[in-house]
Amino acid sequence: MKDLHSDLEKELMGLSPSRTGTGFEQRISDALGLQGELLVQDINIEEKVIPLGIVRNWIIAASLIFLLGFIGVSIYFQKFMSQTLANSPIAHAQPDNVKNIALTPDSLPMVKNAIGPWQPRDREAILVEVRNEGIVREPELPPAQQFRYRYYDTSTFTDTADNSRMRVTVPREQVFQVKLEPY
Amino acid sequence: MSLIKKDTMWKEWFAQHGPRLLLFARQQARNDYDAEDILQEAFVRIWRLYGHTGEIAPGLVFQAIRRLSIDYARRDIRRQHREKKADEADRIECGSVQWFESSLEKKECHIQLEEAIRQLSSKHQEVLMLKIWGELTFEEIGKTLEIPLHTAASRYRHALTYLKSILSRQPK
Repeated sequence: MKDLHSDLEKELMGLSPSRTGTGFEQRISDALGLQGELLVQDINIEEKVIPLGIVRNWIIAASLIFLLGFIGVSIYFQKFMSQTLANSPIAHAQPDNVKNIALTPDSLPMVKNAIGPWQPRDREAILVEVRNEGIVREPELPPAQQFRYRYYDTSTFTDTADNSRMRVTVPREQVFQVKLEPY
Repeated sequence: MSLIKKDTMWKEWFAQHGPRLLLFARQQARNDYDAEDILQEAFVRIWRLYGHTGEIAPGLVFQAIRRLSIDYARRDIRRQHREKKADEADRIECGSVQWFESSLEKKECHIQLEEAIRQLSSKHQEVLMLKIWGELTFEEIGKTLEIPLHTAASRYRHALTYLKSILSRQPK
């Protein structure tokens, strides 16, 4: 079939289609506008595309900077918190509790035995002041909060011979240190 | 990044493919004025979509021409355009424009061939034009005309047979 029409095909191929009119290109140019004049091929691809290696290196560098920053902030924060905690006690000592401790009879350094004809009849320790003296630091010791207690120890003696009484009042100071453990 | 004007790119492409596209548009349209409109619209559409790559397949424009021709036939655009540009319509009358260029020495022969082609049915004309001057494969012709590949091949063979028959009847 192809051989039958090959001559005719050759003859047809000898015909050249008519060209468009002179004004036709201008019509298309007007219709295309600016878009017809710009090509992606004109864009410098090398300038547009960033090589993968550079992107990877930047990502690694940014990650390292971030990691180092995070570690630095963590260390600083830990140190700062430790210092803050060291400056503040875990719990403030309650004067009432300390008072009870101070008033236990065994802890009173008062006269217990008779002195001559005078027999001890009564004894008491009056807490007149509790002073929080803040945090003290001794060399090679952990920090501690210091409380200073001021007492008036009063002992009453009786002479059974003439039923006379004698009262002795002695000021006393006691210092407590509450150990602080920073966390 | 720089954008450089290259206004010759589409012109180069059109200089190479424009005549065959126009021939197909003329075959599809009812008159030369519509053919130019259809060709312009089809080319601009395709170039806007794919022209930034610098090269587009002519088959895409052939397809666009075919679809636009159908649209033109359905709508009444042809009449509106004719009214709008009555002067040009008067100048370009249906069938008055030659489809092919003819040299002096073979003018007679070319005119006979063109007349024979014009006598073919539209279905045979379009296949013949896409194959001979569009330089499309039967597969591409099938896609353009939305027909099976074998139908395209069959129509082409029939077109050549009919054309030969017409030419044999013409006085030499």
